[in-house]
Amino acid sequence: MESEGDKPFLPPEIIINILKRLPVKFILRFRSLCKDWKNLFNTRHFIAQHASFSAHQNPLLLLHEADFYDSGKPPSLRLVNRNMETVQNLSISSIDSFKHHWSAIGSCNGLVCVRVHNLGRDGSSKLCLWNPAIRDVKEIPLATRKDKLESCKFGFGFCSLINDYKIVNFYKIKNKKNANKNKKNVAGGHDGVEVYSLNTNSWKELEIRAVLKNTTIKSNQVSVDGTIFWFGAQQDSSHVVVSFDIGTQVFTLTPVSLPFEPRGFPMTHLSVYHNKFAIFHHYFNNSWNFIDIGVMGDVAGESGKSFSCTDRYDDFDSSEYHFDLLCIWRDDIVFREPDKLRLFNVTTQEWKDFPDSVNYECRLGVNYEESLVSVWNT
Amino acid sequence: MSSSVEAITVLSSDGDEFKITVSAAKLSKPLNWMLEDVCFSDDCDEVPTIEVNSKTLVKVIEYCEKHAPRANSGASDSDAEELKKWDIEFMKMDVKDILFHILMAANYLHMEGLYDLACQTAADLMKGMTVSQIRKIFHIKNDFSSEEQEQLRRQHPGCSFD
Repeated sequence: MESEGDKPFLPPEIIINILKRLPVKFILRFRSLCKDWKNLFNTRHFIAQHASFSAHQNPLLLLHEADFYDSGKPPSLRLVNRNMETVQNLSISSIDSFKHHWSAIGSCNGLVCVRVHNLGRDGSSKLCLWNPAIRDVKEIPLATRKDKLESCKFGFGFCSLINDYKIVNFYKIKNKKNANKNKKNVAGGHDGVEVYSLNTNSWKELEIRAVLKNTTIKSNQVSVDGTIFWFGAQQDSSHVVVSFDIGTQVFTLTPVSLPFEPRGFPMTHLSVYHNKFAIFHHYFNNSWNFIDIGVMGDVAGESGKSFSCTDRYDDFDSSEYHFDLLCIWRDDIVFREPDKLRLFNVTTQEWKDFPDSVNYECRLGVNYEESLVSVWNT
Repeated sequence: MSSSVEAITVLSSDGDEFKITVSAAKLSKPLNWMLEDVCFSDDCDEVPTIEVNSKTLVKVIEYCEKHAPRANSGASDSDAEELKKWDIEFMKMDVKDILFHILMAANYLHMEGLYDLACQTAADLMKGMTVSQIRKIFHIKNDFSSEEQEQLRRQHPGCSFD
């Protein structure tokens, strides 16, 4: 072997191209190499390069689970790799902000958006942005009406054009006087929408049209490429996809006609499939089970978007009829059965069971790529 | 440029002559430009120089010749799989000693595939190294004062300076 001195000095662009490929734990370790590297790891430019590189790697699966039989036990989060092995239990209960009950909303660029419910007298709740890889947590109080809130539906996403993370809250205000009288009206819609921006660190109320106010959000949220999506029902029971452009802060409603199925209405779940927004309609009863997957495509037209049913998966060989769809994880659909998780590969059409069956109820499954992104956005 | 030319001769920075086939040279933009600019007919004896030392250039040409058929014609998945395995073996050889030279050469010759491969190899090697080993190969001096080291240790328990 030649002497070490024979190795040339690498220009910064090559060094950055090497370093952006390192997992977060190594970046943290190599902070102590020299001041240049330590400062580099804190620059927005490097953090963005690192994030966009890891976004193209195999994402981990982030599972949010709660104990079925012990409601006093705090819920947990864990990360699972491609071999279905748990690579990390995220010790969320050791974080002060998460002392109370919490639920995960979504994850984007390594940031996890969590809602913490304070079970105290005021019943208030707050949100937290959390980067588990660098152990950064930021509390985000909800805007002023927190004690008056009856229900909230959230969304969380990132827009690279404006380089900002935003949280959307469809809220509903408690109305004690009318609560009993107008029970029917209470069931649908919401009273307003507020949006939090990480860059400005503040909430802002958005003016929205009546048609959006009367739309009831009925699904999980998912964010792709600068847009947050929900599935909703309108007053006339027709269905729409609600999308929010994070950069322009514009809502769009796209009508969705459910695939005709005389045997009943499906459970609808949103996910991301090959970096595109996807809708799953899951039809089931105790003798049959099938799923339609619709992937959003761009078409010329007023809204510029359309949804088309691209695939149907029939006759699942499932031992339990009672199963739910959690998310898509690369080419696998992740299903939840009462005591276990299963993967269905859409290419090979094969089933795989998670090795550890547990008494945990899985509430959320999302793709997760660790990152250096700071919740302080400085 | 004559279309009958199948291989060209280039000089390394050490002055050694190397043959590289035209299809392999096309993997590099600067080499491709050279093909178009330089006269390769028999009566022209100008041999272009590539600013890469002989030891490195051998490896770069080996990479180009292996990858050229696929780059020029497109290939099946099984070929891609085979090529991936070849890449891993290629980087396992005596490349460690000249990895940084290959990085510089791939960057200078605008060879995206080799550049990515070499960067990833370097990153993977770093995962098994201590902080002081990395300082050595990157020619980096520890410029933290003892107070700053102490402060970093307090902020990030377990962080090592050796």
